[in-house]
Amino acid sequence: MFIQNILFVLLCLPVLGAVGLLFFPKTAVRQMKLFALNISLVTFVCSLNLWIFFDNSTAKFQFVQHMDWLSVLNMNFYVGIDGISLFFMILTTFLVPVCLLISWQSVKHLVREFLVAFLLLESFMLAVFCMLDLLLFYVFFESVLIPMFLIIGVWGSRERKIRAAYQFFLYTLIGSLFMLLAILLIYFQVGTTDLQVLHTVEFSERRQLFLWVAFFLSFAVKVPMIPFHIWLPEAHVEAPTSGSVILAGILLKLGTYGFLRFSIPLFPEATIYFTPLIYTMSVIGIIYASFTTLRQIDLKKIIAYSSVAHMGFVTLGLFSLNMQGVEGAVLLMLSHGFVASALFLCIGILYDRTHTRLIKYYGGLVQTMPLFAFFFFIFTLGNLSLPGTSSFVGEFLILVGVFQTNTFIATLAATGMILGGAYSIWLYNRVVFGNLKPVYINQFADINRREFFILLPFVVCIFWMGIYPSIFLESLHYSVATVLQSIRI
Amino acid sequence: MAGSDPTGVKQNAFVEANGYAREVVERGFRLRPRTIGLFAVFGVFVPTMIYRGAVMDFDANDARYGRPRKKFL
Repeated sequence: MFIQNILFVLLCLPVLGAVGLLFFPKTAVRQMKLFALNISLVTFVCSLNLWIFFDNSTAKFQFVQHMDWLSVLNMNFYVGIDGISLFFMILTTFLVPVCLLISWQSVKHLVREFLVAFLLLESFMLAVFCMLDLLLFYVFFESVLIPMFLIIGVWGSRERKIRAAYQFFLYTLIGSLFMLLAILLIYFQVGTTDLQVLHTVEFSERRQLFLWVAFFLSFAVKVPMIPFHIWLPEAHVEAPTSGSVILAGILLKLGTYGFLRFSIPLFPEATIYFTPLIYTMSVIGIIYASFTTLRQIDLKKIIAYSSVAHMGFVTLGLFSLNMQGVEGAVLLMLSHGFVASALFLCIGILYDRTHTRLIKYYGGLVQTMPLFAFFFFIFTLGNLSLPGTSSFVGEFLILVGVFQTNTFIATLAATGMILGGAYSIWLYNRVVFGNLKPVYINQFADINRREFFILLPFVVCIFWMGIYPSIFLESLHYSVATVLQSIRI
Repeated sequence: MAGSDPTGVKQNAFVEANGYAREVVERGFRLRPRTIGLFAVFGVFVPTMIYRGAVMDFDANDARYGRPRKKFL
């Protein structure tokens, strides 16, 4: 019974937690934090059941739940997961308690509102990954903007946070409006927005092109692909650490997930038609973002631009339209969820102590913060896709997939791995090695127990995915094969 | 493992000014012949070349395996 309703439970738990927080007295800050943390941990444990009870031998949507919503219009609350959405659900529930823990001391004002925003955000993100109705997918895809806008705008670090929040909100909202028009067009042609029904519909080639472009504008902003990426570094720099973790870990994946769930299977001919365009944008994204990363002097901007480069690899893999490329893209999305989040946590740890992210102030931290230096080293290795770490498996599979379809693009994209090594090692070298700069920072504190236990699971996950990726791939095979069946090359 | 008391940074005026100037790029940007030239090269010419390269590679593969040529943008 519990397993049958597990998706409803997962969607409702954070919302109930958010409602529960409203009954706490304003002064009970610690109790509110503990309550929110416990709710997020219970949600995480529940989400692990998805993996335990997931049947790898079928491509069908599992744990399916159906509830009438606008039955007159053939629009219903319809949820279910396959191998692709499974790991994003677990990644989401894993990162939320991490975010609550990392902001345990740094968020001091409007604590209740912060916790409510995070729990609602968790529920919306989970809904996006399991929604099987196109219109409700759009609703939750957009709903994510509201708590995230507040998290950046209210709990951000500096004056520019308002500008960054608006930029984030407007960019993504304008992009998504085109998707709403496309959904209306689909509804008036098919008469429903049920994804399972839409999979059986064949749109005319001309209509596919229009619909694909409308969906693309929405997803490309969210990924973000160059030249739609301007909002991302601003949002990362101004967001609190927990906001950056969620942005890098989950929100960027909503766009690539949308490509895989909707654009590729629903509009296969348009997908092939636009593949060289996506390849071009992805390759430029990888190379341009990597060079831009080398130039940055703000620690968060370095990770933000490296995220743009990594997401370039992901879109490249998705549009290689073969098993290796698409599975590599999904693995790299998951890996990036761990690596980039962990790097943002590390930068947050430094910021909590020094209140600056300018790299010029840092140097020689290995002498005073050895534990921090160790963790930062592991995550840097993950960021440069060293063999044995999670990113390597994803990038390697993507390059294998792309090489089969287009050697020219694969060769250009491979330079991104070298550039990734360059900016990652240089970042580590500047922050951790060299001389201490006591003129700027003369008191140091290594990571404490809370921070240690926040970072440790990330190390485990990065090596686990890097050393034994089969466990993830087994759940992906059938779902990815089903998506690719719609493409007849 | 020690604690995490915020210690703060002793700010340097030059570093801060440099950081600020790098951050507000929109205020320092001017449309000059050089910026237009850079845009023409890196915003138009290079992407066009990459796109053409990608399409040529697809066409070459189709020809090699005897498949009909795909229609691209």
